[in-house]
Amino acid sequence: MDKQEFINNVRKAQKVSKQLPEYSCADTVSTTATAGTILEAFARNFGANHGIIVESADELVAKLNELGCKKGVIDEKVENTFGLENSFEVVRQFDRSNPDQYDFGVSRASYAIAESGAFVLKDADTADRMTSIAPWVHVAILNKSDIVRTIEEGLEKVLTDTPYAIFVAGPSKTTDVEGVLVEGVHGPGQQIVFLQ
Amino acid sequence: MANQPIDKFCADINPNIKDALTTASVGSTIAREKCLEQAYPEANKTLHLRELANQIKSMNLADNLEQAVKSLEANGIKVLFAKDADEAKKQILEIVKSKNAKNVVKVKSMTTEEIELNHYLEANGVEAMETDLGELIIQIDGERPSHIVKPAIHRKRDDIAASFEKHGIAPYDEEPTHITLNARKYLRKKYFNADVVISGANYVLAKEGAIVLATNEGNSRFSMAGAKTHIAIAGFEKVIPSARELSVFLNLLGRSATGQHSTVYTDFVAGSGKSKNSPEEMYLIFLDNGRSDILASNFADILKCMRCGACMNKCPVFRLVGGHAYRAVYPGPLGIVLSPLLAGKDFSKYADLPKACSLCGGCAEVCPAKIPLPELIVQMRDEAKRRHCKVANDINFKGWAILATSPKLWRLGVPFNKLANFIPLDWFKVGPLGRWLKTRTLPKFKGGNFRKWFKKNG
Repeated sequence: MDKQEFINNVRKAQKVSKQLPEYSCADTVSTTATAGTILEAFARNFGANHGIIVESADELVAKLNELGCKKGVIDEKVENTFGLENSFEVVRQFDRSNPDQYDFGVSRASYAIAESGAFVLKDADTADRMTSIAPWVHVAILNKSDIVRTIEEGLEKVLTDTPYAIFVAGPSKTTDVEGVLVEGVHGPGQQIVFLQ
Repeated sequence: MANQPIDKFCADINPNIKDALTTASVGSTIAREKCLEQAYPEANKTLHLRELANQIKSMNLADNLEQAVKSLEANGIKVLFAKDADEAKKQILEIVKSKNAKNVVKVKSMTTEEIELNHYLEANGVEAMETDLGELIIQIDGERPSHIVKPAIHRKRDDIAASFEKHGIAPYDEEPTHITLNARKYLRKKYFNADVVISGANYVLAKEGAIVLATNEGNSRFSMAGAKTHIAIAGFEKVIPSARELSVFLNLLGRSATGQHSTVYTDFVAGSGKSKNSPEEMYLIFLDNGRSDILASNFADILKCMRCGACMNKCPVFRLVGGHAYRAVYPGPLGIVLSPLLAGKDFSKYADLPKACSLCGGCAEVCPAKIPLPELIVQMRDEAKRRHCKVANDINFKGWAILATSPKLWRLGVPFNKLANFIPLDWFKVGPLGRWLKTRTLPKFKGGNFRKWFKKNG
């Protein structure tokens, strides 16, 4: 169907319409979810989403070992690999022809949102989407200073410099079989944030 | 009074499934309430947020759509327009064929269910694989979703496991964790072999020229990492002005749908990707399929729906009969209003649906977009009468109407009410009255003296 005809049909059909209502962040924000410092709120909410937070390279290595990780892929846009290559077999490029060889993937989070306990991955800051979705364990490297408090602030900069971004609030999950919660459906069953 | 088609579903439903259905829908309703209370303990804040959602969804759609098309095209997205389901399906097939694509993965989309895309693609030699676990479960058995958020809510673990075995997905194992892991293994190959990903859109952002997808499983991101072409399809009513308004909608969507503060994954897609594994081309098809007629009708409010499923979770009828009883893609209170309208010339096929409602008002209480569902359902009953649908006129209330609108006749009739106490109800074993009396009886008539009393004391 022709574009103009389609839009004209919609225009003709709508009898009444309203203006965009005026409202502020105070109208939409959850005061309980954002209580405390930004870092406290993020940790609390990301934890409630069953995400794991580590604050040092040693802690990260210990966690990955505990999860039985042997081999990982670190996204090319991650500059500092924190010596992970000393403890694990590490490659920098995801090989699609053998995607199940990686126990963990590491990528850089562009920022995070305290209110929803989610980090944000932008195509602008990650070389390959596979790193963060295919392996069982995913590690997002996040600067503490890159956490915003509210969803509204998080939305302000979501598409400013990238054609694609995603909010990630914990491990991939489903309740499609009799309502039983299972984590790790297609994406990571373990979602780790490494705070810098 | 004739039995309604929905009564048969209610009578035939497997008791196990009925229990599961009731538990799941009641559970979701309670989770929703708790979650919203926890997030917004302030008086009326949730109500205010729902009002904002309603107002944003009341904006001029043509204006927003026009801006959206400009921004989407500026982002390199090819925008197409489909008048109806047939045109949309043809457009999709044409794109798929032009890419020589054999393998298509799908991200759960009610709009593609509405246009019955999977069958069409299959008939044209294209495998379209659902990646959402619930959708996969019903797809392999050729079923329709029975709930818009939890499509396999009517399925039990043992029969899912049997299906997986039958269709060669995995050996029989009914443990939910294992069912999920088996689906994970099976679908991974599909992602890596996919040429095209087809998705819906929860929202279209006019200013940014982007679509937004909300999932829990991450199948959206995986599909959009695997395939080189992305086709999205959305009803034009999904357009909102900008990402900023999502602070209203995202705060309501997950909480209303499953009692989650946030869905796990929220994708923002403004064109082909920049990542090594990402689509190189993106299409967005805007679908009308009767929506502009709905917009022009008294039912325009139904287009504000954000497909969270809260209305059906809350509905006392849905809880007992399940989604298939509504015989169309959209069940529950939403479906009662939407299905007859989307059916177009087949309106009368669904004209009985508005009777599957006790007008308890529960759906309106939970709707995040504050859609006045009970009013729309009453209107739909009226619409069915106006269109002379047989099912809407199956009992003649004319005599009753004459009696009830004439005070004189009414007064004359009152003393005869006492006769009701002498009706031998046991005699009525068959016919409409017999069916009615199977589950209820008449109370003893004790009235008839009010007017006398009122004259003396009033």
